[in-house]
Amino acid sequence: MKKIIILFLFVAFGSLNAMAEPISNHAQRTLIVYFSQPEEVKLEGVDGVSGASILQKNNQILGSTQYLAQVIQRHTGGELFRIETVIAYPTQHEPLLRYAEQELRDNRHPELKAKIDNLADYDRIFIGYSIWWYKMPMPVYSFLQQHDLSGKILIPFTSHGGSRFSDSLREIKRLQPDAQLITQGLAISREDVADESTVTRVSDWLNQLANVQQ
Amino acid sequence: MRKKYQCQVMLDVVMVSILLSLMGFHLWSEYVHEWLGAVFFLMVVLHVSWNIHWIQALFQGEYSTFRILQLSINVLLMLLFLSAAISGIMLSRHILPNFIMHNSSDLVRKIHMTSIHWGLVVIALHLGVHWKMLANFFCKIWHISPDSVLVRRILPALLGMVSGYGLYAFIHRGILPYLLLQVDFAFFDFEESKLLVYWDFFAIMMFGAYLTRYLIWLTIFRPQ
Repeated sequence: MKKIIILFLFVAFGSLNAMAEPISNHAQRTLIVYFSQPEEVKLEGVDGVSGASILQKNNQILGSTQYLAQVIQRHTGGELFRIETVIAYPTQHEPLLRYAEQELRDNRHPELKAKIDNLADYDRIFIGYSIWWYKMPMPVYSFLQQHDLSGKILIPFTSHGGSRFSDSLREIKRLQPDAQLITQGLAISREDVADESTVTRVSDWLNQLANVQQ
Repeated sequence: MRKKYQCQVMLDVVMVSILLSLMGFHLWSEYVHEWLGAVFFLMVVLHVSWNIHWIQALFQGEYSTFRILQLSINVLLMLLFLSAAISGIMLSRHILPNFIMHNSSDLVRKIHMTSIHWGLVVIALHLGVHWKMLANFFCKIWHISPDSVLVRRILPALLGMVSGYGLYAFIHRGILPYLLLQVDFAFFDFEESKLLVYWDFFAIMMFGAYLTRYLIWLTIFRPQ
């Protein structure tokens, strides 16, 4: 009988714990990691213009993915981390295309400037990047290989030139099999990033995510 | 029936299956995509050389509306095919990586995407123009009477349904923006099933072919 009572208490507390979990979700410690390589494109000086992978917003020139990361940061209160490489990428469009193609062909994973040491402080990690040649940019591969994101909730977002997430979700799953990958990521065309509606789209998406996770 | 004609139709069936594999760039690796492209190129050469009599007869006889239509579709298809092949060679990263012509700029990529999508449409028209010929062939080898209920009622109903789905797939997959040079980078859904990709593009082709066949019958053959 005693055993049964103990078992019962176990189950009861266990389910209480499970019920309490969504509440703790609100206090999830959030990190927003992104890789953004703005290209040198002439923007016409008016606000809210976007070019190849760059945009002008409130008189600031930002990478498209960088801008998305900032909007997500404002909504979630998370911390930002920019993936940067030791050797800088070309800033002109065609040279960048060629450089990325060669890097892909050689399967080179570029060295990163910095590593995140306090990963234990975060439960939820947004990861943003553009798509280069139907793949994640190589620096994102470097990042995923150098960090162990097991047990974390991974949420992808991209400002793309048409290919949306391409094969990147599959690749993230392959590189971080023990992370919980959210497949309803945010994919916004780089043409639309500068639109006013982007901010609403981001907050709608974040609300949807909160519903999915609960 | 002549053995050669049977081989020709078999080749055409293989060509369609390779074409569908090529449309799904993401189904197989990029390496396989390039080799399939090369194999498809050789098959087109074979297809044309087996039909060389058609080219030899170009300057003989009179030109009916149907023959003019057939000729323009074939010429257009040839041009699209050449532009797809040349841009494909320029983009090649595995078979001809250091080729003198190698160029992976936005323009070449756009030319490749546009010409293969128009190519798909025009191949469907090409199929539609030869529909009757192929239908007769399949009736013969499977011993089906052209006047049977199967050919007169059931098959058209079935093809109508496939075509309807093809139109849906055409819209759903957003093929039109590719035709209008509006796409910078193609979208491939790596999560969807291979079978669905094959089926969708097959249905899109069937839609184009069957519609062509129907319109030809409506405008050219029926009034006579």
